[in-house]
Amino acid sequence: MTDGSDPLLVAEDVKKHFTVEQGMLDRLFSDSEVVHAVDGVSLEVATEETLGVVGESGCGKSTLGRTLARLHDPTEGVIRFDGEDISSLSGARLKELRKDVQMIFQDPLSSLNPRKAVGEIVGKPLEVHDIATGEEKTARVRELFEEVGLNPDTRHRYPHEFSGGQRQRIGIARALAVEPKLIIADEPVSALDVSVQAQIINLMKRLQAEYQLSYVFIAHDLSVVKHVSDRVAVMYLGEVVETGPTDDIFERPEHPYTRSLLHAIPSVEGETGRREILLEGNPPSPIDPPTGCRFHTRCPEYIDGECAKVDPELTAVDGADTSAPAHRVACHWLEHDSSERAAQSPFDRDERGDGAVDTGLTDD
Amino acid sequence: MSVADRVRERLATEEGSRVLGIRSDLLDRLVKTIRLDLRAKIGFTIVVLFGLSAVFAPMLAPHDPMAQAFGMLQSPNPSSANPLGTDSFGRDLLSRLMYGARISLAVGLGAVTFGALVGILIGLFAGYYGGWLDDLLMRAVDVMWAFPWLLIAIILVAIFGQGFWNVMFAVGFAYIDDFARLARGEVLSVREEEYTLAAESIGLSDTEIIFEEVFPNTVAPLIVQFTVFTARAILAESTLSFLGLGVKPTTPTWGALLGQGRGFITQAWWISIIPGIAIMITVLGINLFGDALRDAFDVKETET
Repeated sequence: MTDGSDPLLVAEDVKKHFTVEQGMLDRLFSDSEVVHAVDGVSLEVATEETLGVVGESGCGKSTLGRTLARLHDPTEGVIRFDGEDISSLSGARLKELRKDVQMIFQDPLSSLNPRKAVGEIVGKPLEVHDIATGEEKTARVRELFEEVGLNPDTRHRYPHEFSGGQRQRIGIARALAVEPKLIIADEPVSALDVSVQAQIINLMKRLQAEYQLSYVFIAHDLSVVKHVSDRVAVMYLGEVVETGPTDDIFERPEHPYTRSLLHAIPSVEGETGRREILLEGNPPSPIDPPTGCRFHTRCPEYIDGECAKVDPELTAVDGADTSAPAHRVACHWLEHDSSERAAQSPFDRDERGDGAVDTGLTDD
Repeated sequence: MSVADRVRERLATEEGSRVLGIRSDLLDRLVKTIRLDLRAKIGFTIVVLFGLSAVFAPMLAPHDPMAQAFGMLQSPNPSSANPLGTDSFGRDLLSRLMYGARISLAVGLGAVTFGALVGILIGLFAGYYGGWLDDLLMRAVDVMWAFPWLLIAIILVAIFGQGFWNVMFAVGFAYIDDFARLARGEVLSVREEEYTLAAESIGLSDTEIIFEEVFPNTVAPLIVQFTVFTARAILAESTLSFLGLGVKPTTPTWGALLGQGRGFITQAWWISIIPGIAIMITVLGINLFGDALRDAFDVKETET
């Protein structure tokens, strides 16, 4: 779908750090702890393209989405939308941006104000941006309701009177009201039944074609992401570890983390011959992320002496399509021979990193 | 289209027609609650009855509340002339009670309104913005909280003197911290809901989010607090009047009546007991009415 023109959204080395909430005395007398929720993410989204962002809970994908939508101010880095640097917009210009970038939220109930009739919720963006008022607004709201497959006569009801799928449709109608160019969907179907998921995804796909929308589709469900995305970015602990066209990622995953994620998809066919990759342990704390490659503490293909020391850069995979958004991976194995990779057996997890085995690795 | 929808279609236009700034469908719910719920009905009746008798006291009262009748000292007999008897100066107790309601209810409602306005504003902003603003506002509130309300009220009345407005502010001042703390707590939980983020993402400003999205969702416990505190403020005004720090020693207020009757409780119990009963009934009525308000404004409650 990429036609070689400038991408709609470009993020360069975007970081979002949060200071852990502390009491007043802690704040005065001690150093604050910082959560590295998003730590240097670069990505781009072309017009009418869907970029899937996947990763475990807590990997910073929601924070990334909110930062891209400028609901958070990025701590560092540049976000460009339509060629314009939006990373530090505020006031009226930020409000202008809201017309082009909208969000769909994960929890369709929590994202709708329980004390407002849903018609009011959907009509609010029209009012805020002076797009339509009075009769015109009513007409537009009815239109939006029909567009997302809801009965316009239900618009005086309150959110709790709808089912999960209907609520998500309301959320989509609200996002659609300003006719944005980019919609950031933060796990839009995770809270829904599988049958309803399909309906919502199909709705989103139809709207994409109809309104020439671009999506950043955040999810932890890989089968959903595979279905909707043109390209995928895999996140681990605040960083993108692998990105590329959906087919490349799903057919030829390079990063050990991506591989383990893909293996976690339950398969109906009961495929044989796959090497079982089970990840052990939990993701490390983003307050104090591991040195080197962030995945080294859990990596099934850990290279002693490299992974814990040097943070690998996102590098294009050999043989990947050289035209712009290529398949790129942040892993030290790219510098090694593939036969070597197949033969390797890593250290136990307890012996890794700054600890016992290797000398001279501890730098702080 | 169901019947309920058609009713709503009629009641609420897209903008949601408003009566006195309250959405008409909410008003409709309130009327329905009062009609269907016995407790709400009782509360509403008491509030309206006492409110009206206070407002129209000059027209309704059978006697001048200050007129002394030395032939009728401490008369308990429920005659047509003095249905509730007279006090130690022969003044008609019913008339004094009705005039007293004017001061007691006005001070009670006024004080809590003042405390709620200031306190809720503090709580909303402290909770929404957090950080240093939160610290600044809430520590100031903590300081207020550290003093007993009576002490603050006595100090304020001592500094600014007696009088209706001074007593009202003195009583209301003590409620700022409670409203601030409750509002802030509610805001903190509402702040976590995604609809505040959604509001931000459609382009609402912080102030719009605070008053349109956050505040309406914090209002239920605040209404309850408001009614409980109105009752308490009436008692507080009574306490101040009882201590002689009220509006004016000679003005009849419920507290003052109660205080004046204290000395004669063995000879003429009704002088102090009857204002006490009036206070109790009012407090009960306001609480019941407050519950009805809360139910009516909670749209999540199942339809009746």
